[in-house]
Amino acid sequence: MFRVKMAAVQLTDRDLFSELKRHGFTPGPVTENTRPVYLKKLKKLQEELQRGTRSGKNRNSGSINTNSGSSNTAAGGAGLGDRPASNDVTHPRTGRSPGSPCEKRTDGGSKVVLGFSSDESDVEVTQNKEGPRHSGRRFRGSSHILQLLQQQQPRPTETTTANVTKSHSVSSDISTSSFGVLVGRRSVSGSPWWSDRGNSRVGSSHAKETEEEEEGGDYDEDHTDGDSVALNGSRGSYTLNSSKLGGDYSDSEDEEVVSTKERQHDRRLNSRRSQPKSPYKSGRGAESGREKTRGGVIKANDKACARSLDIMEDRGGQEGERKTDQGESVLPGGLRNCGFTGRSGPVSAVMRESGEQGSNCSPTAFNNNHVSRGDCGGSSSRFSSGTNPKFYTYNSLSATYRSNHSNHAAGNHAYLATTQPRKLAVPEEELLQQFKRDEVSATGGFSAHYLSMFLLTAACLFFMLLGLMYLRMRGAGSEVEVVTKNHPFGIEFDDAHVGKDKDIILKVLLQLHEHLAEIAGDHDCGVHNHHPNRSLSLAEASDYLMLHGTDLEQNVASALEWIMRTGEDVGIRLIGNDSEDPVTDISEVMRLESTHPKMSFICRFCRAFLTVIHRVVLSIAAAVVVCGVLYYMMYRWRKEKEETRQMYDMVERIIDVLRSHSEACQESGDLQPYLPIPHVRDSLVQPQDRTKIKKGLGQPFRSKKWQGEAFRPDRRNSPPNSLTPCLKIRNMFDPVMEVGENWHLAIHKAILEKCSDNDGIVHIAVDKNSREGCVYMKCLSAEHSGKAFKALHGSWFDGKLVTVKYLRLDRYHQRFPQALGCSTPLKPSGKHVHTTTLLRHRSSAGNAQGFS
Amino acid sequence: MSSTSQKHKEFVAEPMGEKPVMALAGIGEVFGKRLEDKGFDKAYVVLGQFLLLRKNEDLFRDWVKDACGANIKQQGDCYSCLKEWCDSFL
Repeated sequence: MFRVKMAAVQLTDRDLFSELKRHGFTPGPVTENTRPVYLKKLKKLQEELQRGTRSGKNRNSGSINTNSGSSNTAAGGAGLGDRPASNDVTHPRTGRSPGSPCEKRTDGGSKVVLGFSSDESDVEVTQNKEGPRHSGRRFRGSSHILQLLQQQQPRPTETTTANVTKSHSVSSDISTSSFGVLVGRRSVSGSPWWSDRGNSRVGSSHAKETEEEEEGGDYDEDHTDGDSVALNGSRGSYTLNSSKLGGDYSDSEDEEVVSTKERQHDRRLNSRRSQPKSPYKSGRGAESGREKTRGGVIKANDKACARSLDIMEDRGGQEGERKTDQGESVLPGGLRNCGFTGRSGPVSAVMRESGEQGSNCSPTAFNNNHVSRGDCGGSSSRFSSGTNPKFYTYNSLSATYRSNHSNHAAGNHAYLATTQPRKLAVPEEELLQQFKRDEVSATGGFSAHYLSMFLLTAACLFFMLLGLMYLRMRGAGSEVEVVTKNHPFGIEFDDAHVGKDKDIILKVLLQLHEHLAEIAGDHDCGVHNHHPNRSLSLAEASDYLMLHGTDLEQNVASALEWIMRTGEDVGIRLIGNDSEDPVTDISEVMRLESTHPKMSFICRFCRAFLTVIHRVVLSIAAAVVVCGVLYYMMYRWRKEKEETRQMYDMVERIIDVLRSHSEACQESGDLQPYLPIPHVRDSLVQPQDRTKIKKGLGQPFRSKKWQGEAFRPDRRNSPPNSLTPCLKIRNMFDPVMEVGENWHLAIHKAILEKCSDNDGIVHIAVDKNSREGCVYMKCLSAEHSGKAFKALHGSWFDGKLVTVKYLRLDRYHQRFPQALGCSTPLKPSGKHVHTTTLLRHRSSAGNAQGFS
Repeated sequence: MSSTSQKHKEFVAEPMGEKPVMALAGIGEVFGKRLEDKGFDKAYVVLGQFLLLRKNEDLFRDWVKDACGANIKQQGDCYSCLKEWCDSFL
């Protein structure tokens, strides 16, 4: 495959074409003009192939910029050289612009799915030969870590050195979405493992971040055998993953990582070289899986697979094939990305261990895929317990993957298929979890609702109890007062009367009080059976007292006297002839009345309740009245404003007319510079409106009427057939001149009347703010709109020439979504006067009647 | 692109029609003359070349360099101008 030396002139166009294709580059037709360009390209490709990753990478990066993957592939292809053009052009390679790491990676991954650009991988493979570390380092060192990320493409080539650059690759992987980057990473990480070609550089760097890089590196190396493309892809993915995993790891440039990793890797490598990397990979994969989604896991698996493949590659190119497949499968985009970053740390650690484990596994085991993986996993005692399960899971995954891989192409697809559902499952699980959480919260809310209800009920009960107690207290108070014999008469009473007298008087009073209270209570509660009056005459009181056996004749007077003297409310009120005047002398006392009527509890409650209700009703009524007053005031105020505005409007128009007239006068010199008021008015107002001058200045009337046609019915200046059911009618009105609230309804009506023979108008919208006076109309069908078009276009309305044009239906619906559902034809309302004779008042008062 | 020249904007704004090759961004009098000598007298011929090279940046740049000796910047201008034109009109 070193036809580099072939002289360009010896190449025919066809040969040139095929040569370029061989390099993975899809050239356009080779013509006399393009020939030199393609020759140059071929030379470049061949040089790159020779030079290895570096040149390839450069190309890749360069090609990344171009959309066509061909360039990328070409680069890759060059690297591959003798490899079959399996490098799909579609592989956009990492080169693509280092954008956001994750996205890029996925993109790269996805691309890989489409086609694995082996360019990078190829290049990487070659690089490996040179010395992974060196190339990798060189490559990496050249740019900052981040830049390296960008150079993901080149990475693949570096993968060999990836070991060192593991950290680097990780970071770079992230940045470079390109697949190639991933590959590079992988090779890097893989390299420790595989140290492919016996390079121990790979070392244990795999672990975590290194893994990614290593993988990439290893991959790359392995790829040299073949399918480097695939490997690269996978590597890239791995690297991506690894980078994700060890985000913190800074898979720095080869050197940093390599140094440490190399040591590890070397150890492992030596022991493991022979062993399939798969275990390692799977371990890695497991870790990655752990970290994130299955995709990540799968990816890891892939990586592991890839690595193992790489390892195997040593054994034979077959592995390379596998790796390629794996790589490709790994690439399938989604896997790589996100899953890894989180887990990078643990994963890498696991990876490392797994790597070691992997080394233990025999290569043959790898071939078996599952078996080797499992064994390796099991055997590795180093694996953290946590990782082991994952490892196995991974192994299974990888196993599945590998089995898929066995068919180069089929494997990828299968892998993808398997990964897809897994990936899907993950988000679904997440969703489910979210739902569960929501449900929990919902139930919590539910109980909270109950709680609030309970509290509310408790508060209500409490207040009710309080009120009841108060009422009872009111009723009982008087009793207590009496029972305790705590009379309000004061010391004098005690002094004046002693002993028996005192008791008698008090008893008298007590009985009187009670009796009176009963009477009053009955009376108040509506029980008028016994006593028509609330009060008791003196005679009746005396009778009552006598009835109860108290000898109180003489004491009644003193009792009454005391009552009067005390001035306090003892529960008995003395009433004279004039019920309102205060009683000053006993002789005046005619009747007794209780001030503490004894009512049953229910009676009290009812009365209290009624009182409250009355009060509430009164307050509400007062509030309503106040609101009504306010609204009325506002209404009046608004009306006044409206009228003022209209007046100003009119004034302005008059001024305009006068101005224009004066200008015209100046121009022509014929007209008088003065305009009589009627003339001004007439110019603003249609003749029919003159008879209806409204307040003061005369509100202008503007009758909207159709005034004829400008074109003949068979006019040719309309489209022969209507195009859409939507129309835009221009120049129907002048928004500046329009006053009032509902002038647009007048427009509606006018249009409907004009198209009264057309029953297919379903939506009309007046754009009040348009300078051109636009009205939008939608009809049932294009035919209806065509009819309307003919009726409206070129007509004079209100002194303006109306024009109509068609609108796109979707645009119309965008603008007027409410028109989507309109399907009933609009009709002008019949109860109003026809526009031709309708005089509309500008004032708001007129609007109400003027519009349907 | 942050810095596109006036020429670029003008070219990309409308179908190129029969514009001369000098209307391309990055192609001035001298380069235009050279291209015309080679037979690329109209912008659409250069467009044809661009498409023949499958819109590949590297290849096109190389070709432009070979054809008229433009420097990196001018190559880039020409490429991006044609690319954008294609994005809009092709």
